[in-house]
Amino acid sequence: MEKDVVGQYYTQYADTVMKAAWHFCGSSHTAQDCAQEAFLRLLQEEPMPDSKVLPWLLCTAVNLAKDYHRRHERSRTVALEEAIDMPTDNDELLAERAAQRAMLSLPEKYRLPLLLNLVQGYTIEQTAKILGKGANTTGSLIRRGKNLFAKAYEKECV
Amino acid sequence: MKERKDAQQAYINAMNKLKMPADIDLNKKIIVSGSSKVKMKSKAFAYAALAAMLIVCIAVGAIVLYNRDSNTTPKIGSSRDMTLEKDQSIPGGEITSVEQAVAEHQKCELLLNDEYIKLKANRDNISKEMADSFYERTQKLAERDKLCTDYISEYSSEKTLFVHAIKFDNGYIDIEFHLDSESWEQFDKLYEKGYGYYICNAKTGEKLLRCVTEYRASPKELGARAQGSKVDMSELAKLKGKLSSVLIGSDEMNERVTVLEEFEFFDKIFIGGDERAELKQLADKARNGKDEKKQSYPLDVKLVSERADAHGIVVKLTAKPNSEQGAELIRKYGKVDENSQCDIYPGGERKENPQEITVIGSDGYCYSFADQHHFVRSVSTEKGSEYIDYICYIPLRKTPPEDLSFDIYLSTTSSDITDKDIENGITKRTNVGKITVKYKRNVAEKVYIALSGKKIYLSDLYFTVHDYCENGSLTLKYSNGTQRTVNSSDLWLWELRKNKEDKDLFKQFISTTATDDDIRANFFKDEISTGDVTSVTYAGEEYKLNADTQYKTAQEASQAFEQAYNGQLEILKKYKNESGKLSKDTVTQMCEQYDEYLDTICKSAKTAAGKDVIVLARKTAGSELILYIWSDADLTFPARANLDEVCEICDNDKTLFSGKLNKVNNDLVTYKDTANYGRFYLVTVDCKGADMGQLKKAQQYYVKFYINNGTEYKAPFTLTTDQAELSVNDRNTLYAEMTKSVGYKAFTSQN
Repeated sequence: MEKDVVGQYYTQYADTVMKAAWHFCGSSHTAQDCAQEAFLRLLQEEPMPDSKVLPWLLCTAVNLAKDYHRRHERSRTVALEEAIDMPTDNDELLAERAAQRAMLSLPEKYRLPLLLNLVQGYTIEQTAKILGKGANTTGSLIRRGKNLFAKAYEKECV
Repeated sequence: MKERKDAQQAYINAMNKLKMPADIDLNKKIIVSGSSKVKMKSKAFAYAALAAMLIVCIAVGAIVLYNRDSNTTPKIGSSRDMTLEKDQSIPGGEITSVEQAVAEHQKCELLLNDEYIKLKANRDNISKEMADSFYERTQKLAERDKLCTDYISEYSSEKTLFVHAIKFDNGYIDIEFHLDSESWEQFDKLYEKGYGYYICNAKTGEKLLRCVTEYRASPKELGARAQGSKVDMSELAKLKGKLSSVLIGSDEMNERVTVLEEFEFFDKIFIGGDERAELKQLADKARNGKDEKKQSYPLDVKLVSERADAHGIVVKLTAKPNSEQGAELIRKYGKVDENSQCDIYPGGERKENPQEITVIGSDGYCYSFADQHHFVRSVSTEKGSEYIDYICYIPLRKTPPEDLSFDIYLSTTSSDITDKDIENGITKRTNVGKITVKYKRNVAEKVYIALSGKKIYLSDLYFTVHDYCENGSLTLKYSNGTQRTVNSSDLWLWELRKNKEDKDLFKQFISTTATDDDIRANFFKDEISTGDVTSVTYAGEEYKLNADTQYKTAQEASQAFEQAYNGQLEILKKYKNESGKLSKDTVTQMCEQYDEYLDTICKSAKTAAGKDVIVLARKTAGSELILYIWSDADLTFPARANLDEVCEICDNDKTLFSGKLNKVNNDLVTYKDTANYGRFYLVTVDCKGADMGQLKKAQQYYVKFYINNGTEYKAPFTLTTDQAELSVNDRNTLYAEMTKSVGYKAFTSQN
């Protein structure tokens, strides 16, 4: 794929792809690596329809993030930032950290739908299209994911 | 609802802070790389790239060799290896072809392994000369290897199918598949359905090992790795010298689906990554001089507290500089990012150069070598008051003997070390601080409990059991009739939860490292594996332990099924009776509960032995028996015209009734995600002519179906329920109403 074209996609999707990767590795730095790697791989791909680009990028970045996570599971290591809880009095920050931990505690199948729907603002239909799932399935995942997330968040806040 | 909104808002805020750096320049990256080759940003992904390149490389090699003699399978590591072993010289000169690059890459791999084998043979007495020679040769080999893999990556085209296996002498084997898109899709689909993949004897088809993990790098980059369960070497010995194959199949059905490829193992013991790191550390130690007293560290590491047991060490420590060099180290590499997430690696820039911790026992064994066990609590880079506070969990690689001391080294592996750093004595791997921890034997037991038939995961368990342990009332019963009370003092991990830092540490440790398999493997590891612990009692209640599955037998699953069925019934009845009075939230909650019930059934059934068919039998008035069936096998009951003798009801081995199915509703209720959860069927058996009195007396019922071209399905069930209930149609109608009223849709009724 042409560099200019990939550049445009980068401007358009980089944050989304990086956030998606974060949902599977829990580290912003690793997520950046995964997202960057996904875009670099896109350069080596044949041109594809616009509608396929984001799904492709998400899939690639998420798989990279999963690989990273699995390798670390096997070696029984803990990424630094997952374990960090620097002291702070900032309630908002504490809430965000709790939300992050809650999100990472959800089963994987819920994470991307929630990201796309809640953060990126895609409708259920759009999310379903991106994820290549049925609208009903996606709606169900989002709804159940929201409930599970709320419960997990509550637990984290205790 | 407010809490839910707060949670979502906090999540959105957190996500909005995640951004890709604006300074990533794709064009620049490409120019820098000088080709279409991916330039890796992190060390981790550099390794991933090397691994991928290795696959491609060996794939190319294999296929090239295969093409030279199309009648033979590539024999990796056989005669060619012998040639390589004779020639120990490191390749050099210009690389002009992929074939050359592949051959040289393989040679580099083997020579590199040889270097580690030499070290291993002399691990107790590594001389400085040997260490220097090791360092020099491995550096050169790594450089040459990189040239080769770069070349292959740039010039080789994608190949279709390849299996490459290496055995490691720690009892693992690594297999890497390289598949084309079509094969990968096929593989993926089967795997999703619960099939596993195996290494087999290619001639006899005997399954030798089941592989348990896999990865894939991208939708198109076709890599997969299977790491066999840890097996003893005698199992591995079965593979040696034999042509092996990989197949996808299922345990339960003994079904062989497809053979992916035949291959041979490297006829060579490979030193694994962990051991390589350990040996390298020993070599470095030999190079730096063995008299540790002479070694000075720029950071003074002070131990604040520690706990150690057979599984690992938790240390809390503070590192402070004892010189300007150490202070500079902290100032330079210590940082906290804008989200206040700790990001401190005195060993170098975070992503590429994590600090390492090496744990050397007083017996000389390297008990742990890891690079990311740090939980930095606080850091100060302020001039004059630099310090770092750590808390670390360091898992140990083997159970140490009692009364052992550990020397824990903090090291740096930075590749960004500057000339000035080197002048100051900071080299690529330098110990920057050391503490000694005394090992105290303690039993860090872990409990796996099935509470009321519901699996409790590690995180829940620690929350739950810890409370009870504080009251000292957790009692284990053993199959030989003895029992033992576990106190909180035995369970230091539980104690970890007592203060906030430890709680977070522990939670993170669990959530990021413990998989279900780990939990099953580790919880009362020995006792459970031998079936010794039969139950756990606390707060006056006894709970059965179940090490492997939620429900061990289909009978148990069937009972759970009935329980859930009744639960659903209650929900639906409540909705029917009070539909006008229930709030939308209540109904939503009921829908979810219904959903969970179904989920419970499916998961139970899937893990049960003989999971093909789960039957809940409900005897109704008259002589009809209604069988409510769930199955994740693809059942298709025969058409009505051919229903004769498709069902037998048995008591133990005695056939009580052999009858025909009166009515069948195929695919009665389909869970949306059928690939994972299977389907429900309603079958009515006409029991006319059966001796109902005898049926009632029977104890161990099971039903046999002969469907799907004569396939026999056998499933146990209970015949105890004889209560008024809603008809299936009523159930579906009610459920449809219920879900419609709140816009909830999880199941489809296709009745």
